[in-house]
Amino acid sequence: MLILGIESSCDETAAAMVEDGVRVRSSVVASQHELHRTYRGVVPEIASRAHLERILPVIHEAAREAGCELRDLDAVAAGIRPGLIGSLLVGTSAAKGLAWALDRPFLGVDHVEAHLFAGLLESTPPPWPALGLVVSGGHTSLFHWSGGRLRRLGRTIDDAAGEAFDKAAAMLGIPHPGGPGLERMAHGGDAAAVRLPRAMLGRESLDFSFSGLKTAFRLAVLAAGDAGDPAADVVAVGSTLANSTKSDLAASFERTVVETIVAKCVRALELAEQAGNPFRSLVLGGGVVANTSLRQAMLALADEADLEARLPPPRWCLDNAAMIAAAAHARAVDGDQDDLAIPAEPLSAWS
Amino acid sequence: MSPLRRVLAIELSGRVGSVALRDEHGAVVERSFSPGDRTREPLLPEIDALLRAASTQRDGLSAVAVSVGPGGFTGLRISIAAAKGIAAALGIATVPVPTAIACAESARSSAAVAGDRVLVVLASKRGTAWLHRVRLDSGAPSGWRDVAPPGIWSRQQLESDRGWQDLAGDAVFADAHQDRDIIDWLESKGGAVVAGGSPPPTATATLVVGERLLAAGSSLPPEELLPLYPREPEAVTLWRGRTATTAERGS
Repeated sequence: MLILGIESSCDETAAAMVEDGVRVRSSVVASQHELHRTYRGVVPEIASRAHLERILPVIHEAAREAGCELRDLDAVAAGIRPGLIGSLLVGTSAAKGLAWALDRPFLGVDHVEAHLFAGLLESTPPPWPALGLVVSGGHTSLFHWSGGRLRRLGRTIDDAAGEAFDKAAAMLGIPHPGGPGLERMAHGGDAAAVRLPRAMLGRESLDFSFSGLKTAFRLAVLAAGDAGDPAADVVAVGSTLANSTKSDLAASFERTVVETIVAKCVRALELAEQAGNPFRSLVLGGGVVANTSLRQAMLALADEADLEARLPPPRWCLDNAAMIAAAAHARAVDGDQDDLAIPAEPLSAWS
Repeated sequence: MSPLRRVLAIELSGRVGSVALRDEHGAVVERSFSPGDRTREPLLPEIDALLRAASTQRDGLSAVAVSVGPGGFTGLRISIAAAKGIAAALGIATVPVPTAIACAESARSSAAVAGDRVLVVLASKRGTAWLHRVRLDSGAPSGWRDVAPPGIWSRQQLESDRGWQDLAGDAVFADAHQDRDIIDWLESKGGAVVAGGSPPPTATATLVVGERLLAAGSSLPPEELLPLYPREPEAVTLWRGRTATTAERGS
């Protein structure tokens, strides 16, 4: 079964052709990072204008790379939530138009769920149940995944980890998107240089919180720059710090986020064990999973807990359409499809 | 006799959406609908119902004509992206129809306008509006020829431009959401505001204009179909204003 996936939830226009839910015949991503860099963040109106310009060239490129025609498709899928609504509408409407004109099923996919399917691309299914972890710019959530059914165990109650990465990066003068830049800055830094808080939210909680960390990091940057006024322009202070100081701050921040996430996963494993239904695998997804420190820590955890790990390669951690097609396949094989009237929505079913 | 060229027309730039198509006898079939909300996005189901009503198969379509604005961003994104998908799948062309031309055609065909000149007011925002002044001209590709280049105007700019001082004979097409100050000024210069507001642009008008443009060779590959943006993104304007202020403070 060949499915065209389309993704346009934020600032990447993407299309992919995926066969039988796992074989990626093509995956094309047109990034808009350059368009938004000036504004230090994604500008929704600029993003949706760019999606309209790029959506068909990206789809045609995906078909060309896959060596197939649009009429060869068995279904068309699009990420319909969550995201910037003006951006989602472009990919969703184009996908519906294609599906209708080709007389093929249309499947709307939740982007957060799709991130978990990225870990299964070009791979074999893991033993179930899996502890699923999605860590991205918009979401940080833990799931119990039995293969078919997904049940949320915890989520961030304020900022997502990726958002915290981007904000911390901005405080150090690292341009958008800041997460990868902060990781590079952290390389060689002393991760113990600055003590930052790890929000655990109670012994039993599997929820996350990163807003306090963000505030603490801001104060740490100001202190490092000897800025006495807590209301000082943190970007101005952080940008002028010595590179070694920036590296120490970045490494400390990165370690804090990684340790917080690992601690929550450990707790989830313990709770499942106590309940007599232990996890047998660990499936990760989301842009922050491209972070090397997090990957190493999660692989170490999987090894220690004797879990099979499924980590997508970095290119499939970021927003892409292959994961959309893979998530759609799981439903399409059962003959499921969505009505063409299904709307795009800004929030995930898992928000 | 040449086979009928079946153009699917989509109008989703305003507060009422519609789709239109000719049936096998050449009669126009139109379906109008409320634009979507959080629970339902009706465009594709309406298109599907339209083709059934017009006894037309998907692969019988020759082109997709779309009202491209200025207008509501949400509707334009949905209609243009869907048109791109349909046209790409069927390997057919798209025809961008300026919404102002569709408005002029709608007004003319509904007998709301008797003369041959129409001044369409759209996309009002913060004391400015998109003005498109056209006159009937069977020699023009769309059937309408620009009297002046369309663009964004404020009342102050209109007052200081000689081209806008005599609007006698112009029907001013503006709905209740357009800038009152600008409309009053256009009326003071002789423009006849269409009584009781204006009929919304319809997919039938988009179809008629689209067919003319297609016959004149004014079609586009679907990759090139884009909305007609009256202004730059607001965030860009705000950013420019902020950086200019910062520069002034620094100098």
